[in-house]
Amino acid sequence: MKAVIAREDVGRLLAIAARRDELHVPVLDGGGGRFVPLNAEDPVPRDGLMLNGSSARRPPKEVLFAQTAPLFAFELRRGDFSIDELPPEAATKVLFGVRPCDGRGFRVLDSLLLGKCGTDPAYASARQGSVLVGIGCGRPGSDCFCTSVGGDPHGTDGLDVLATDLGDALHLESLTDGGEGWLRAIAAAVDSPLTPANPETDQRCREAHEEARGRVPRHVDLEPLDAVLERAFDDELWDDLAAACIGCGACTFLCPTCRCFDVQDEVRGDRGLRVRVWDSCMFREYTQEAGGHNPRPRRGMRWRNRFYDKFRWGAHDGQPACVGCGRCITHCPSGVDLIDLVERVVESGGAA
Amino acid sequence: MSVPAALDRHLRDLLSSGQVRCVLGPAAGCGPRGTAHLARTPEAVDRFELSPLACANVLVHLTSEEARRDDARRPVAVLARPCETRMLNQLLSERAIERDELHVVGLGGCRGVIDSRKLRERLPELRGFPEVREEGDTFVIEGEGMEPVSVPRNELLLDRCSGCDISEPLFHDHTFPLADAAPTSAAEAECAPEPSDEGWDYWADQFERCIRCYACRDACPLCYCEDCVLDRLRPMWVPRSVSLKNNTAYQLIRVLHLSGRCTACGECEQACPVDLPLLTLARKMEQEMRELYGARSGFDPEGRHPMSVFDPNDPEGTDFEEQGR
Repeated sequence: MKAVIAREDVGRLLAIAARRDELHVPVLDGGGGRFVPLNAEDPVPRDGLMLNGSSARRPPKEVLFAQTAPLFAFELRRGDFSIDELPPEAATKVLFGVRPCDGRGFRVLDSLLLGKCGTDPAYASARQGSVLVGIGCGRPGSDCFCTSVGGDPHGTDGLDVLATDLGDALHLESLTDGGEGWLRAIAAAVDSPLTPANPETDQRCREAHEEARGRVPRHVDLEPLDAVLERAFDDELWDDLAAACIGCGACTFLCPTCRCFDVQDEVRGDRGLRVRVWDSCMFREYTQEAGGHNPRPRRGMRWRNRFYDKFRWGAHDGQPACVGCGRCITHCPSGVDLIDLVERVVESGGAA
Repeated sequence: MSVPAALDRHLRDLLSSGQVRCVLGPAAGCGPRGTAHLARTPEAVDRFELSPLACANVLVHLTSEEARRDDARRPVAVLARPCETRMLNQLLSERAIERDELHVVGLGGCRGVIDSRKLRERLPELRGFPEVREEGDTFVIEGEGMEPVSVPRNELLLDRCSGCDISEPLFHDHTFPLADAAPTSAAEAECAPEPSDEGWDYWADQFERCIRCYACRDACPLCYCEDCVLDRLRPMWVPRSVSLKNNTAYQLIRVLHLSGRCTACGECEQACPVDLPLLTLARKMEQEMRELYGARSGFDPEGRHPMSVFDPNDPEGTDFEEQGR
């Protein structure tokens, strides 16, 4: 299904969507923006809604794959040990305003958390029935390179609905059964602001897609990379590449596809909570073993891990696990540039 | 622009004569933020960049885990702006580094550096690392495929620079003027930290946004503990769960461990990927230490930390005589 909505009516559409499901939208928050829940009775933030211009600095990953997810509670009562399972997420989650790169990011999360190695219950229950309403990037950010990693500013992979910004209106197109159902339900609401698409809006849509593709500012040739990675693992170059890195987790926590987590028991007195929290391969204690052995004692080795995950181990369906959103470049505290690193790895040619 | 010829020659000589094992300094980054560069060969000196945009956490690499691994005893040469010599003093006073491990190449006549985030906000269409010229009270920014744009200095300067009162290195082995700009007295109005009227509510809003990536700690040249209390799992002093409570504990522990040591260099705030106003916290603490103990970190390489000395006249100390002991 295709439909068009006038820009000034987007608030009405969101109000309808919020009545139906648990709705999350990207808003400015003083820190570059993130997805927050929008309740039906809340006013739609007019200035803060991030639907055009730059993407939210924190990707929507955290809505479905929370940085902190309680798994179960436990308690010691008079010598008895009891475990309280926590009720699974019940509401259907709708994410409105997901950038196409972040939509593809969920594919990468799915491949691990719903993959053949088993299902992560917390993620599965949040992901169940979720609808990702994407919005194309008319104006890609300063370090975007989605077209180099198989994406597009209006790519549809991973999304259920794609919205295209036509200036005075948004053009909406459903891409999956879930997206079709959601869009039809919105159109069927008594106060629906949707109008049917027509050949003219279709044409403007195609032009907007073409134009945006030319605006993606950065490019990198990944073609030679895989062959180099095949033999570069033991190369000395990784320590050099990581020289400017300060070892924080900003890149991994802002990444729409990083999906490492740690499980911790947070105990107070006789009660405790087992929580799943994000972890980062850039942290020194990442995967450090109980006996003290650290499989990646040097920063260069941790960098190598992230690099191989993005471009080799994490790849699926022939696409890298990097979706080219550019966040790790723009917001790296120490100015490390992933694209520059790809080029330097390729240049090195791998160990002789 | 790279570095002036005389400085370039000096750095090459240091490396080729083997006087220093490497040179640490600022370099151009991919975007409008600089990066640190470690030159081990004379050829690698080419990459240094003294533009007011190139100022991203250089000194942290002196005390990082990677630096500690390098056990060669030959000194490291450091390209240091005046405020960075203050940080070096603090590191020396803590004996985090020793004087004979350092060769300080001071950069004189500093008029402040640019906050890359303010620049990005002012010129969102900017791509790559632009050329920056200083003309009187303006910065002239020349980006890739862009007409030069003049922006008043005070709109782009880092917050730490607008209240800075040191324009010359506090100490050095060699000193070079920054570019050709005539040094001016940088003593602009002393800028007190912005008080926040909303008090606790304000900080709760900020800390709630913290994503606990530890960038503020990892960017801090003074956070060099090999075993950080914030990383400890057994016991887990600060739970890993991200919540206002735990985030507040994280930030307050981090800041209090820097009390009397922090030089308010602002690397924490620059590093924060979600724009927490961490320099305000740092400056507030610096001000308190000054008012309570008359202590100002980083001005005396032999200085003792106010929290580690006993003074019977300590304004917060116990009055032993009154207690009849």
